[in-house]
Amino acid sequence: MKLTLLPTIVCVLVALALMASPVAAQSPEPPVEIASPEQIDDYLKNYCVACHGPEQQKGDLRLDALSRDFTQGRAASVWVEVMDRLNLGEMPPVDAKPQPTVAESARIARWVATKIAEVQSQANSTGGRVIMRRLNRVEYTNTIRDLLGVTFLEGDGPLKDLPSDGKVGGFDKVSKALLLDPSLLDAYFQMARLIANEAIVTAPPEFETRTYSIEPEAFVPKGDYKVRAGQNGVFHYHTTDIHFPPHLGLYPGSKLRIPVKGTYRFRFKLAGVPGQDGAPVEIQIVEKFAGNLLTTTVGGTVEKPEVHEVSVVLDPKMNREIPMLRFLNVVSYGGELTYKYHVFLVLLEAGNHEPAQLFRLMARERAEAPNRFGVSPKVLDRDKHRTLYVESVEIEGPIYPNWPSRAMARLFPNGIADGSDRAAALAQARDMFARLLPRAYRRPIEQGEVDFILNIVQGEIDRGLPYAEALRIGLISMLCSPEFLLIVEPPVEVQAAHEPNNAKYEINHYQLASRLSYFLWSSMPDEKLLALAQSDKLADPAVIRSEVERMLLDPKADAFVHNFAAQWFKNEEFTRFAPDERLYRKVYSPKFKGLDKDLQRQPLAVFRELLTTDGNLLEIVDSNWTMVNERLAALYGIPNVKGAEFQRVALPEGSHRGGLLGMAGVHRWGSDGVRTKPVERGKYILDVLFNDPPPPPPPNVGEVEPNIEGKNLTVRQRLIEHQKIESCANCHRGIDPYGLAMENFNVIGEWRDHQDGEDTNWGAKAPPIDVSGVLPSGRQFANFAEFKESLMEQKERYLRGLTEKMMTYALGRTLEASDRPAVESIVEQLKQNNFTIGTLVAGIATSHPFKTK
Amino acid sequence: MNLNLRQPLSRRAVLRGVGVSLSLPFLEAMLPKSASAAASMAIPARSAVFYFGTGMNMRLFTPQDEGRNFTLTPTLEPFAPFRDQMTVLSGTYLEHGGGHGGDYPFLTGTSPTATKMTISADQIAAAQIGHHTRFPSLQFSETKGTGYPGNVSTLSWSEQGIPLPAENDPKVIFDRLFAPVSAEEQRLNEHRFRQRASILDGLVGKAKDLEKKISATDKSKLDEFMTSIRGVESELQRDIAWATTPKPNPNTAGMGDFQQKFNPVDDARRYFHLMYDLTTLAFQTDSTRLITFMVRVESAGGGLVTTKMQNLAGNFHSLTHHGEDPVKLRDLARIDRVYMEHFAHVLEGLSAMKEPDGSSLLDHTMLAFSSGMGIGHSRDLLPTAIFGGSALGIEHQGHLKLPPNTPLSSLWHTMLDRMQVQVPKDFQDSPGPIKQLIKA
Repeated sequence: MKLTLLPTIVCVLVALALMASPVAAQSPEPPVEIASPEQIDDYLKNYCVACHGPEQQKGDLRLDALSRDFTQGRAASVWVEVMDRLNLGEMPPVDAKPQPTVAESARIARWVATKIAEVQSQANSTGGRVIMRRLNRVEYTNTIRDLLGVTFLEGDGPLKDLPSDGKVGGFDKVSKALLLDPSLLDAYFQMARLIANEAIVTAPPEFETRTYSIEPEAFVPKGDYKVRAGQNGVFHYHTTDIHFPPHLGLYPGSKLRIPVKGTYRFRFKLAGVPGQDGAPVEIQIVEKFAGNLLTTTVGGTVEKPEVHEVSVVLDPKMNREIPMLRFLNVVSYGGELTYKYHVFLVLLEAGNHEPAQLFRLMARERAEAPNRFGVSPKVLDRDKHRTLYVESVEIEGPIYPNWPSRAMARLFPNGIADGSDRAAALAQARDMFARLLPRAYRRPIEQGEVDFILNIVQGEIDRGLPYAEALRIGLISMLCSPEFLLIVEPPVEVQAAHEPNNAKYEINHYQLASRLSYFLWSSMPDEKLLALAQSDKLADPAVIRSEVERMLLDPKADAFVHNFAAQWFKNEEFTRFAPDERLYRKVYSPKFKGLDKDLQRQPLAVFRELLTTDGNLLEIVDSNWTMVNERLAALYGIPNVKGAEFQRVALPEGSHRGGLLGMAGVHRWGSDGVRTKPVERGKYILDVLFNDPPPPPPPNVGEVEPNIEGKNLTVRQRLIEHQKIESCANCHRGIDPYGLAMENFNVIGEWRDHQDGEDTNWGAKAPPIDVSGVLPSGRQFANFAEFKESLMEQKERYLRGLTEKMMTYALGRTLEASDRPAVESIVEQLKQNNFTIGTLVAGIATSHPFKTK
Repeated sequence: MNLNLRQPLSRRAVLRGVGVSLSLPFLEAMLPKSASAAASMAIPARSAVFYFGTGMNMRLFTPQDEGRNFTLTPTLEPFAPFRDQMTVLSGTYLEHGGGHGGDYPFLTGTSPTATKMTISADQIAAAQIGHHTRFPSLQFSETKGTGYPGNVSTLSWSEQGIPLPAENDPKVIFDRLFAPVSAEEQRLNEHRFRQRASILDGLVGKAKDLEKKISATDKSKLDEFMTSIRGVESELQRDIAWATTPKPNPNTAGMGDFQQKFNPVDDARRYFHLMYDLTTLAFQTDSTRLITFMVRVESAGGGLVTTKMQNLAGNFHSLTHHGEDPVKLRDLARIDRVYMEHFAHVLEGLSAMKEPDGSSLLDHTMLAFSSGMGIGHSRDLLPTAIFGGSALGIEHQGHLKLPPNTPLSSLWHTMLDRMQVQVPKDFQDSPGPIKQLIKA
């Protein structure tokens, strides 16, 4: 069936696509009044048709004859125009008599909004069925990994070269948004070629993985140390950085240090001797493009150096240098001698030292005179100061993602035929594809399905292509097959497909295995799931529950965090606006370098913690713990957190940092870099926590205006001005209190008690922040803590919203009224099981919609 | 040779008939007549559309007076040499524009929140005239790829509503257009063509088998798959047809070095001049007749130009939230001016190229630019102008004030009309071509 909606309608309706939550009818919010047909008649007659009726059609608009069936012609777009004008208060004109009341106009506007939402939900409707869809980009990548063992360097492969996927209902899992077109099929062909080349390899790469090293002393030329070492010698150093110039540590037998793109592992053998103050040497290992790879303290002695290891993808086309060392807490001096001269003196002192000794002296030199204005070694008591010794740097690489080839071991456990015996080669190919196809298609296969690929392989061999190349072409055809690219769930009974009414049917066990694995792993089912499917055990809810438990503990469940939770929290959008550099200098200080990534990672870390501990989902709303690393802890003022890794910290009584709304990333998202945007923040809560996003604003209403010169109003004051316009108040009453309640968090997510931000120099006059408000239900709150209590009181609304979101993700379709019993039953299960995340996941996996199509 | 009488052969017929043979006679027969007879045909019509994201300072853009003798505003001053070959269109409006979503509806008329996007105006043209050239259309941008589902890097959307990836690297574009194909590549291509064809044949069979098994509701997705196969097949047919036609070797005297890598932020002028020169060269060599160019992406764009500008009161996006601050407004106009100076380069390039009949390439090329918003994130007051195309029947008006809220799509309608492209009924929200722009 093709889309039946007319394009003109689609384009106006979509703005409202997400507002209709077909399941969440039980919201505690007061019901909105919608105009009845008679009220519409009266309204048009009394206020509109004089200008837009049979007599006159101002603006070419006639409303009395306009169809109220929103699927007719341009009716929908005209009605939207009417709604926008009413909401803006532009119509009827102020000088017209009589004038409608605000309530009368609002009723009409709501009627239009409701109709639009209805038509839109019909357009997105699949009749409650899961529609066949293609794998999305992430699923494709993971499936290739699990099917063939082929992986890619970070930033390479399908995640880079396949186009990104569209979303419906907030998730990239819905058939309607996972379109297929020639350009995508072409991209699949090219990607399949790349994968086939990586999978079927018969010879080692030109540059095998080797270990080689920079032994500085080996490179110091014998003889005239003075000149050579000083100018072009062991290390180049600038300020506090120690670089390793390109002629050191070459790949054996080549003139290159990085012969080919790959992962390289660097083992720095270092010794850090504390100075008189006892503080340890602190360093960073930094790569020019990848940035900081490691921040650490260095201990050890010259005799027993420590090893500090980093791995990084390097490409000779980009990276001319290997990672450098940055001595973070070097002691610096002013002085009368230039740095170069200082080196020179050290070299003279070194005299007849062995190169190794000379090198160590130089490293020590590094510690003591970091800048151009070093100090004479004659007056320097070296033992007073922290010193970093560099013993050597060991390089291991290139490390290839697919060599040695896991795919070859899997596909040809007894080795690949050399192809000289045509019949033997074809037999091997047949055997290989017969084993591979059931996994690729995620179901048992029929005989003819192997033939399709074998014919292609044989055709290529007959044209004189080498056996391995012919196999690659076979692999490409498999990877471009609809059975691989699409999640196909045919009815068990073939004739059911042709029944006119198409009743829902239970999917078979293999299909269930796929649904489970794409739900929790974003990848194909593993051997265990397929075995359970084969033995018909997967329909048993107890088996599903134990499988869900197993799957969530598998490292592959990372995909659930990165795909479901990330899209739920919208964490990738957190840093869409950079804080103003003048107003928020703080976050640009070196200490906070990398903060943006931390902001994005925090909610995922919390979600992962919930998964591993089978935690309570209400802790997303509020909790007495959170996940932070050292940088975030510094922003939040949480003491005693060290390192870049996220760790769970207990929050003291009265902390504001528990739950999603305590995370700086959310507040950054709800700011434009200069000021906070309470309306956006309110929308975030309604959408993310309640799956109940408000309808979009009418056109051209713009944003809260910036302050006019001399009038220093807070964002809250200006927003409340806006609310005074009655037509605006209708919607904003339901949004703004949620956003204004978070005004204690400034643009960068710091807690504030007084107004900051914008170009205003608030100074001592900064007004105190007022977050108090009234929710549409009448619930009042005076401060942020009370506000969070009010959210907790709406926990059913939250649980229902979350269940809907996760179910949309799991099913790959928008929910419909028929899904309501399943959602309610899961919410009930949650209430009885301490709101654990496992209950939710298992509840969805055992629900009726999950098992049927 | 009387090609008119010969039906083009299908790719499949060729592959079935002669296996892998890619010999010339067949290929000529497969070429649409206009490609092999291009030289003798009338000078083709070309058009290009440019997008300057996040609007402009319209107060220093829009001329005060109307008509052919309009006074150039400070922002438009770089166009002084072309004032007879341009029309500034005031009053244009983008229904789903404003805010930061104007890049989606710009050439499609479809809202960014739509479940499904729709074909862009340039692709409507490409479907009808794209077979004349090696590339049915080209997508240029300051950022590579599609950017989808965020702010997009491309203005072009396929018939299925999928964004077509854009290229931002002048070297890559130059090589794609003009670098000769080596014998080795040629040989690999032959294998690739054959292999693809046989896989595609197999896939058609598989899809048909599958169709018998799946439920009725799933058929639409399989239809998409089948359509995609057919699309790739016809692409393949094109590739085969063009494989043996050598690429043109244009004269690049006076232009920059397309091969040398550099960071565009270090020299935005050089970068944009290269990109605009590629626009000129692509049209001049008739490598394509349709180009879209995302000069400045929505929302995050502007950095290429502003990074090296001195004393700006903020980055481009923050300046667009000017809050009536005269300094910010002035800075916005300064930036607009730089972009317009760059843009004038493509006009210079095209007007310097002469066609066989002595007219200039600019006379046969329509270039239009606008944005997804006007000033202050509005959906009206768009910075819109059209240049060139006088040999295509464009009658320039200098500064033309259209009725307020004239859909931007009527400009695309005008251009499609002038390219002799059949415009679908109900084309976006267009009320029809802009009559004043069309020579009586």
